[in-house]
Amino acid sequence: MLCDLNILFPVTEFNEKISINQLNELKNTINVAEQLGYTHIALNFRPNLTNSNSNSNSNNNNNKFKISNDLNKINPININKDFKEYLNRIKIFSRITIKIDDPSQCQNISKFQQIFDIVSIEPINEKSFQSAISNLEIDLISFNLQERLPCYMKHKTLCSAIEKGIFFEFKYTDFLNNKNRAQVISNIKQIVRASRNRGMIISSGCNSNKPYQLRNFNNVIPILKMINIDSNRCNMMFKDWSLKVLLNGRLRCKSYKQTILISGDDNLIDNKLENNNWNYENLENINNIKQSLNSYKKRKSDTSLNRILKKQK
Amino acid sequence: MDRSNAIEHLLLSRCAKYNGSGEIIKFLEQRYSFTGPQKNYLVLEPTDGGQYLIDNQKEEQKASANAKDFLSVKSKQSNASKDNKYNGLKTKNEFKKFVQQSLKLQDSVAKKLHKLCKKNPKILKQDVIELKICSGILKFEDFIEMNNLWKNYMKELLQNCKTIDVATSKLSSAEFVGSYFRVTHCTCPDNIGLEGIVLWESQTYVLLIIPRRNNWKDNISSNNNLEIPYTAKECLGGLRMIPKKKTRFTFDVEVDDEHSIEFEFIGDRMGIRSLDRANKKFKSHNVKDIDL
Repeated sequence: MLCDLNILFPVTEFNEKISINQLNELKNTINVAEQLGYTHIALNFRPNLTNSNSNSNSNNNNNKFKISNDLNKINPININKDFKEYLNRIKIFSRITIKIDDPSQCQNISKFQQIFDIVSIEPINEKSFQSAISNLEIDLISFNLQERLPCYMKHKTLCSAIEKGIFFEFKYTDFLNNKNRAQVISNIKQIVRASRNRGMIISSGCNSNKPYQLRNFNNVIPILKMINIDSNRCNMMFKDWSLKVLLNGRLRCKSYKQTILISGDDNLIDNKLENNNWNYENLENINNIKQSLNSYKKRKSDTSLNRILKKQK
Repeated sequence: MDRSNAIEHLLLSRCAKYNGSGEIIKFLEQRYSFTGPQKNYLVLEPTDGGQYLIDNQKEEQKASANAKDFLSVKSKQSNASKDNKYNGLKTKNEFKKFVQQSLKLQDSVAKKLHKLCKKNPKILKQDVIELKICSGILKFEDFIEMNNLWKNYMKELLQNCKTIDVATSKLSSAEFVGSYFRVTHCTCPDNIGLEGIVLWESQTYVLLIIPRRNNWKDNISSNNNLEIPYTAKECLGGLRMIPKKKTRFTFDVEVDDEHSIEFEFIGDRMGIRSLDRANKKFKSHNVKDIDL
């Protein structure tokens, strides 16, 4: 099971809908990913949240910043409607990446937790990085590796994050860029050193209009080996650890604090039965259509209990 | 006095002492007054008791002997183990003992059956519970009523639940005794595929009672026209103690007559007694111990 948890979704606004051109490009990219052998991909939605510091022209900013209370309208990634043909070929999940520079911006994150499969955060300064690790229930932390890291990576902070189950993400498209390659390598080396070779995943981070940026699993491994990651860990970064991120996110959606979860599909992270059709006319009056129980209804299966009851009759 | 005292009047009239009814009425009036010469008291003289006394003494002796025995047993136990958690009188320990005994019995009977089936291979084809050696084994059929009770309880609990988070949070503090569990993931391969009614849920294990011969092998053989032989243990059924660690169970909750919703019980995260679970505030943890 190969995972690629970062294929950029072309839409950058909450209320915007994906155009047909963009959708076709995205589908091309997904097809390429499928050809390269990936089985689980996540579409990464990166909303343009403006800085809360620049409150000067407040009217404009507030309008942009406002997120509608109707949870059904937030997620632009409509897996059931737009990506129907991939149902049995490749597993598609939704992911949101939020840039934060101020811990006070994090109130919205609890909303996103129910709507997106994976919630990841891109901290811009040290304060937000610390608060993301200690306070928030998130799955992934990604950095903009082309620039300097927000702070010096300490063993203690990173290891506490890994202990909690938060993973760190590298994007291999950063290497393909001719700009700042040295910076990217030094940044990754810092994270590898501080995390003690654990708790990292690698993803493509490719734009939907540039499918040629996608690489096969075997082509990425030499780059990782260059940074002194052994081949077993390279494997884990693509497979096991990426699945752990997915599992963490999916359990948040499907279960109550990982105790009792809804089942009926193949495994813990599957979203075959889930209702992801956000534009669906909301007949059931449910705040969040993804949490609807109706799509999980199935015919009673023939258990041995039923057989015995029939016999008794 | 308004009382006529008819009976007494009649009795006294037979008496030679009184001549005429006037005298009798006078006497009777005095009889029930507080000031008259006669007083209305009854004298009870002590008797030796006769047969009644002997019986009483015997009974008393018996009772005291019983009490002495009881006290001596009690005092022995209480001296040896005051507040001992292994005390045999505790219900919990009695239950434990019963479970251990029935598990032991099951094992020995299964061994005997295995030996018997070498001599007589047809013995496992029939319903083994009718054999004489299986008389002490617990039957699955006796516990079906428990499952019906649990179904009603679930109907009440999940009446107005429309979303996953509400339903699962309610279920996480629900009681599972009586539900029909299937083991889907377990480190012990023998346990995988077991189905049965939950008799008891403790901190570390779930006690299932499983039916005879009716398990996953039936499903395979009906689909593929294969016949997979049942082992002696599977033919016997009975109690199974399944650890919660590294185990996942699934169970169905009925929605209406034809449809049901499947839920999954993650044993790693439910390692807590059902009593404490009702008030527990759960937290998400690192998922490194949960496999897909």
